[in-house]
Amino acid sequence: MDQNQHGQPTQEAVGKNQYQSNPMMAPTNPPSETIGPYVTSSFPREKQHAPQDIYQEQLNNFWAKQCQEIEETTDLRTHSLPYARIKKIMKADRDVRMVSAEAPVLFAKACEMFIMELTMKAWANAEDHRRRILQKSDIASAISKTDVFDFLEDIVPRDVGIPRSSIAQNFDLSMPPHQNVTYPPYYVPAMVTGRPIPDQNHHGP
Amino acid sequence: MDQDEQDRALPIANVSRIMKQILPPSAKISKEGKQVMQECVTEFISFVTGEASDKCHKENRKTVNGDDICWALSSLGFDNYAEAIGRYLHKYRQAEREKINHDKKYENPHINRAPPPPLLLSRVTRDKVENPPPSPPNQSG
Repeated sequence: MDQNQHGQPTQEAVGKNQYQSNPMMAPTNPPSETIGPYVTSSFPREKQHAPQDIYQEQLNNFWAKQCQEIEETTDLRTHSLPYARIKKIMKADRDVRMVSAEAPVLFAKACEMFIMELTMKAWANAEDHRRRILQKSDIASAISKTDVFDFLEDIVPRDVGIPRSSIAQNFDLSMPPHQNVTYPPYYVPAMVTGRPIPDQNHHGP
Repeated sequence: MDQDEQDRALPIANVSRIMKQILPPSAKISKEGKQVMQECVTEFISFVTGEASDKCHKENRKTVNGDDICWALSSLGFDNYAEAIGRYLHKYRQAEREKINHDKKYENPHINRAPPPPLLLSRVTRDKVENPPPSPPNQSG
């Protein structure tokens, strides 16, 4: 699958973003660079191309933009993750003796990119199922689709990653979209959600 | 999650904020989604650190440095990360060198004095030439 390829990006953008979209995507309104870091939220109306093509394009844009941001950065001290905590996590490994000052700085940037990449892929899964709330199962699905994320399989058991549960569909649709609501993605005991519809997964245009 | 476990994970608020940066404004994130991302990114650090640490052991070194992190990312298949972090490391080291030079300048107040008498001009010129440290930019790879 295209999404499993992390090496050798098709576009080599050094210092400048590639604004040319994939010519195959021209008829289906390719995502514009002016949108910024947001993933396009609307699914293309005409399914002329596989979703993987669109998401691969977004992924390529993401990595080109990351390299550009690094080149343009002047202040290396602004970070969204605490160095001390990163260092503590590194030293939890007993084999690690000493950590240079630059290592947590690099990890802060690497983790930022990791979170954004995994979130992008998880959101693609949520969109595939017409949901507006990113679930644990979306992250599990993104992990199972990407080879380099194999080391995370233990954290998110594969059972949770099984997509297209009709009960989950009904359950998600019946809940109000409150961000702080805590509920399991697939099963709630003693709650009646109505009769599951087998054709729920087929969404026509 | 007790305090010790919390200290060995990244703060969930920071993780959540980064997730929202990449999502459309109307998107929501479930609490479980945030928690599992927090666990995943913490595991990412441990995974890469383990690989870097193994390399240090084989080379009889005690300190895990930036080059080891870049190597580990590439070794584990995170090629995009290795490339981006390599650039970042280069920029970081540049900034550190500039910081050192800046500190040296202000540690020595005599540098900012008025120009010396003509008789000592040649000696001062020779000293200035010797001042800049000869450190070529280090290319990691």
